[in-house]
Amino acid sequence: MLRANIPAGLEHIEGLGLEMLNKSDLKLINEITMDVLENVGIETKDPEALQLYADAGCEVDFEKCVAKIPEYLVGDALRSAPGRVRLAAIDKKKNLVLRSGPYVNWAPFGVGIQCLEFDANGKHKVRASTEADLKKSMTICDWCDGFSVADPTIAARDWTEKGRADLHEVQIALCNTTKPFTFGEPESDGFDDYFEMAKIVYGGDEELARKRPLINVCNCPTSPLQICENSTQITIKAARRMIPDVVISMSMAGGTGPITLEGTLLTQNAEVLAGITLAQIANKGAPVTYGSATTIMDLRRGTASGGAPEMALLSAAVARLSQFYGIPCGDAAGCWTDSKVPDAQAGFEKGMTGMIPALAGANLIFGGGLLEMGQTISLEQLVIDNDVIGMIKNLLKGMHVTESRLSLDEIEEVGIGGHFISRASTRKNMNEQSNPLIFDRNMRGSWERNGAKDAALAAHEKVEWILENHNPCGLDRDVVKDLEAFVARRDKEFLK
Amino acid sequence: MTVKDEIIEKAKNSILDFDEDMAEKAAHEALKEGISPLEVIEKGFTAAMEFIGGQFEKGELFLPHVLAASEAMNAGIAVLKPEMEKRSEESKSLGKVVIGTIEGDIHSIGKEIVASMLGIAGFKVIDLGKDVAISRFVESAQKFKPDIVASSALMTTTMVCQVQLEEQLKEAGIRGQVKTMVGGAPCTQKWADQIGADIYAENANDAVAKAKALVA
Repeated sequence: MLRANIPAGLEHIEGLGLEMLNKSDLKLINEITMDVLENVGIETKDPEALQLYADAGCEVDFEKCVAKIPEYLVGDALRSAPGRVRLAAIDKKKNLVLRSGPYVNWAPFGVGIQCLEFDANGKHKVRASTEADLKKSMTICDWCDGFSVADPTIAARDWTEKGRADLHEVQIALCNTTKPFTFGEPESDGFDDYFEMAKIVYGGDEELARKRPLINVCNCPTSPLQICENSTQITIKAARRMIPDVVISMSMAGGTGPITLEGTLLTQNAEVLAGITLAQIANKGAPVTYGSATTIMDLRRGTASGGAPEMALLSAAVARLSQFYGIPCGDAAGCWTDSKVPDAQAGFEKGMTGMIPALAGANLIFGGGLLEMGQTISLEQLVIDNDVIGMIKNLLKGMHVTESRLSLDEIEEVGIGGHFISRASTRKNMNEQSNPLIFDRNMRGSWERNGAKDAALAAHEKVEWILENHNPCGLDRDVVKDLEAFVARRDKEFLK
Repeated sequence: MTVKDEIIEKAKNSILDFDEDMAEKAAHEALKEGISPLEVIEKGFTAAMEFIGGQFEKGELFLPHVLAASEAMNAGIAVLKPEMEKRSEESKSLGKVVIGTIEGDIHSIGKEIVASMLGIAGFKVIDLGKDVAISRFVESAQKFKPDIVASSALMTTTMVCQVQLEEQLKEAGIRGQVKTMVGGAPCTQKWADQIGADIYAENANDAVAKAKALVA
């Protein structure tokens, strides 16, 4: 029988991918982006950022607060920005290294402001999110193996006006996961406090707190072509402290970006590159990554759609752009939906918007748990999305055609008729199979005997089980107490 | 540990390791040492199989493990069989099942899983294979005097033959002495009721549970 020879490594691609935007497309997008940065520029009211831009060689109009950034500066920034960014975790084994290239990881969404609450009968209601919701959400993200990071998904709104909500959120995150996380609502004035909290986790070791920062941050330019002062300050401070920062443009095609997806891809690229350049001017080599939650404005409804195919395309394009620039894509919107509840709409939109950027190789796709364009988080949806992510991971494997996987020996041995179930090779490789926890693959009778639950109800039971059985805390009791005491002190100062 | 204990331990491990060769070897060694085949089966093979079955029910092990373990067990028992017959020993069984995929249908993998699981549960299974003529079901029922005659069908076009099986068992005058079981994708409880079959099983676990309930 035919035996293939060992192939040379030509045209040998492992896994499934999506080659959208070719080299000349990417070059053209880049060239025109440079044109925009050089001739239109970026507006920021932050005097420090303007001065940094000016000192680095930008043409700055301090009156109009506009910096025009020459191409060579952006080029320098892209060269000095690292191709690998490590997100440190309390459990070192869970560190995540974001690498430029088609390496896909998953994150939950951050930050929602409402929680969709389920009861045992599958009835649900929506309400303002609390610190207790955040704790539950952290526990679930820590448990779900689909998520490489456990970003805080939801705001502790019960602390607004009553204390330092941001510090409460950081504290809950530190105490309820051993995975890395990015804090979605950092205050630029809060960096010293965040650093102190990381130091407490490291038992007072300042050097460790600096070398392995635990509270990663993100910031969002204001489209089109503006970066607000809080945002530039986050970038500058994170860069100087070597804290991983992801610059996330949230442009909307037809609203804050041109109606064409291509045009919006371009303005959001300019915004992100302006942020990355600022980080590199502030501190060469700073760990800054490329982010995007760019989508369309649904012009018939006046909303920013989170479940549109256009968003899937934009996120995939962003993945390709960041690969072109050789820097990690530290956040691309995916696994999103406009639906208000975990239903058919959520299922399809999440599958579509998760799959497309994943196939394009986005390095960190965030959206788990999200409903209603990011307004609302559902714990049940987190568990469902863990299944969605698991299945997309199986898709990414594609097929790997080798002589051994073609299984000629097995086929010869089993021969005609019979079956492969009891083969040793079957046992050995059965873990390769996709294995959803919530989505039901049983026959109807088994499903009925198990209570005929739909995905949301099955997820609700899983949520209850996780909250009952999973302890996500990786810290000693004393450390937890010290963190609580620190936050309580800051609350007092805040109320004075 | 005596030689006998060692051999029984080996028989057990052969099942836990899904190792047919080891099961055969343990069986041969038992014959050489003059150990009762029945003892090797019950204390070795069956004991290990019960453990595997328990793990399967808990969801720790899956079909590939159970079927592989059962194949190893069958390989071992095949070696012991002639000696057992010589000694006229018979292993305990919960009951006898004649099983096959019905005439016109060659989709037999589900039936094979059911047959294996019934065997593992302690039934003596006579597997007639696939595309089994109705007359062969009837002849086998007369010959082996089973507790259950089980037929599977995957297609709506072949499931109608399950009606004929019911009728021909009646014509042969043995319908009252056996229970009938039907299964396969298009079959339902309603179908079983409609044609007068005694048991409908949705899957292998269901088949085992209902067969056990029947002989209890």
